[in-house]
Amino acid sequence: MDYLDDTQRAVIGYSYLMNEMQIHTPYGLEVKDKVKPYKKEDSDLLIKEFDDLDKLIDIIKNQSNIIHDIEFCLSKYKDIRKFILQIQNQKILDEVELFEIKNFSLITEELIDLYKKIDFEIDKIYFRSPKPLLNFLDPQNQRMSTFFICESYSKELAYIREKKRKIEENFAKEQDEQVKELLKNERNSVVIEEKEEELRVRKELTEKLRENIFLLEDNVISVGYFDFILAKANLAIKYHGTKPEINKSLEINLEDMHNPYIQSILSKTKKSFTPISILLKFGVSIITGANMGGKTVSLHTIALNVLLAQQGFFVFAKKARIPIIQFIYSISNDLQDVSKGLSSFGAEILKINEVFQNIKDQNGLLLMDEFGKGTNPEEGTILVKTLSEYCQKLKIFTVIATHYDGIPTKNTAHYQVIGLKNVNFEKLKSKIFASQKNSVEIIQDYIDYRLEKVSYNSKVPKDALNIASLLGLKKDVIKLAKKYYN
Amino acid sequence: MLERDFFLEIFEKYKSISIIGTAKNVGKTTTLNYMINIAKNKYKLGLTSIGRDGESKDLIFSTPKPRIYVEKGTIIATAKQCIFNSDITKEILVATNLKTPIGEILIIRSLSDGFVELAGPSKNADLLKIKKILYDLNCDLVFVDGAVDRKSYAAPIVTDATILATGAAFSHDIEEVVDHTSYLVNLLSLEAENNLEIVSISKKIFKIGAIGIISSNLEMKIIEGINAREALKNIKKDLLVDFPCIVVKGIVSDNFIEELMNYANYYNRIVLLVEDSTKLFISRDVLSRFQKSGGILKVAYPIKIVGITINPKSPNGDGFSNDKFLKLLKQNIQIPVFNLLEDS
Repeated sequence: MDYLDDTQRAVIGYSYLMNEMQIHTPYGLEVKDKVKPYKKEDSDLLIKEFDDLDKLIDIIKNQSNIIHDIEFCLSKYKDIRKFILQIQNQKILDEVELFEIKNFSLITEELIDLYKKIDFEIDKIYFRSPKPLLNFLDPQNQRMSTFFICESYSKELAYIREKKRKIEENFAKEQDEQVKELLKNERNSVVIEEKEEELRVRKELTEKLRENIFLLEDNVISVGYFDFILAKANLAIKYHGTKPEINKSLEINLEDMHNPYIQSILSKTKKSFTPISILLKFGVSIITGANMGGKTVSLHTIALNVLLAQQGFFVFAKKARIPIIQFIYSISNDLQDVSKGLSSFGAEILKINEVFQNIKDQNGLLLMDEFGKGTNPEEGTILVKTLSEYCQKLKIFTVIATHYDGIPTKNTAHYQVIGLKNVNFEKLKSKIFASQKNSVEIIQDYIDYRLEKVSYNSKVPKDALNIASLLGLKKDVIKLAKKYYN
Repeated sequence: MLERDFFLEIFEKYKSISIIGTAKNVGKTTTLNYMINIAKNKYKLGLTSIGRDGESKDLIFSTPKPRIYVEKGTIIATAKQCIFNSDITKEILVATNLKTPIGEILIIRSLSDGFVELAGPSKNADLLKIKKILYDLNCDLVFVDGAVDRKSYAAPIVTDATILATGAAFSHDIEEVVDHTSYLVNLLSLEAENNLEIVSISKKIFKIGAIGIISSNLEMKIIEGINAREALKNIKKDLLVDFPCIVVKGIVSDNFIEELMNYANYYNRIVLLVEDSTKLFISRDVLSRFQKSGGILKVAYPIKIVGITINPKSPNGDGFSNDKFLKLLKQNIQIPVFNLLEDS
């Protein structure tokens, strides 16, 4: 997939958000399942979509009562798509199917009334009044959700039912078993007449539905889209999403972005997500940082927000400027191919080759997480440096997270996870000794996960020994290690 | 008319009544039709059925489903396919979203008299939902047709009262029919635990699983085990001296009771409390030995069997003498017994 595969979408938290969407109708689910990234030439449509979403969010906030009624209305819909197909395929609907079509029309009538109360007219929603259908599905204009083939459809039917009723009346009064049996037989033949006439009426009704089928089809599409965009707006409200600016310039700017999925995991241990900011220019950006420093989280959060914008969703950042791109690829050493018997290094090589073949002259985002980690550090460093140089020449955004030194050059941007840089290790150490809490948790509390822009020759912080000592590695081992550091 | 008065009286007392049978062709449908006829013009009737988990099987062997004659204005909950096999003029009121192998269960109103086929849900929880819809549609009396299988004995738990139909179709041996019927009545009408505190403790045990024991001062201990019988082996025998009530979640079999009777030296009286009598798969012999050992079987959710109807004829033509059959049953069972066929 050109915009991450399903596993990758799950890892970055995209699938989580899709599951969080509160969709009410089968039609809305269909729209959701078919969401596609916008094409470059459709940027006007994407901008329009975001404007619509913005407008709807305002309506939800200001007219919550009506929105609540609309959602209740949506929750009443059942799936009539297969009945529409049956009508198209010349099949005669039975009473239950007619009942469902009538209910669909009644709910839609109600929904249209509510929809008129909010000022939200957009191209993708074009409700049509179901009145022409209700004129014959509800001939007595009672607007009840029940359905039956009533006598007003056919004089013949009225006559047959009256005949049936009289026989039943006599049958109920009759004591003589023999006469009763005769009445029963008589009734049976009238029942056949009734069923035949009902079939004729059903055929007529189905025919009328076929003439008006576009009403049903258009309403199914409109209900689906309305349901979907409502869910999208609610998702944005729930997780404080913002409207991204779609730019045509060559940069991705993400200010104070967050990731609802990772936040949901952190919430379980009562921790919160530290917002991350990054400005990606065309070319290569390198993220460096010590272990436990959240480089991977940064990459996932970038991927998530860029993907959301491509798909027409609000992003989770204070401010975002994102262009429409043609792909998002991510290469990390947790690639699935590893389970197929390849070494993690081998899998990375195959994947990067595939990516380079796919890119051609397209514009997109390529993320690499600790490339070459599976091979020796010396050659790993050389490889990452080479890839960085190669990618620099491609017309794409490349983000490389690495803990190797010396990868950034004057031509690449260099970001560093602040990490434990500003922490007084002695103070932290005494805090750990004084606390009952597990030391990993305390260290995590002190790590500053924000990214800061640093000069290209700024070294990767060497915190490994410090962290090892904080985690309680035996003193004589630390002492021994210090000898080598010197 | 004695029967008529009896049924009118129970219709006044109970809002929902189920009908179950000891076998096919014992007159269950006759009983239901009789009850419908008596309720006519007096009650706004709701009808459904439960326990037809062999629906698809029924379709394969194409055994005709018994037809029920309803009057105009009856509310019926039945599967979609049954609706088209009915010959009433009908109005579709509600689509319940509850699915069966022969279609969604729909609620319809009969706009004429006529025959209907009933196929309701097979789960108790679903039957409760349907009962609620029927009451919401202003039904003031609901009949539930329980199919003839073990599972249908679940029906009585979700209705206020139950009628049991029995007859010659069960066995050609009149003694056997009477024995089985009276045993079934005894089993189904097991005593309910009256101590509300014990009932509330036992509901906790039903939730947690396996078995639990309750002491005379209402202390509870949960005993773990993969099933009730294995859990029982984990009880220290002398514990039963202080914990004279044992609560079992799920099915209780002969084997379980035999195992429990190994502990007989440690109890004078012991209460065995189960969820309801449909969970009991025990033979008459084991039950009677258990009772002799000082065992008392009780249920948390009681079933109320209020009457018995009989069909002395079997489908192949032979059968019992009506008078003898009635007499024997009345001697053995303390619940009113009627032959509705003779009367109609």
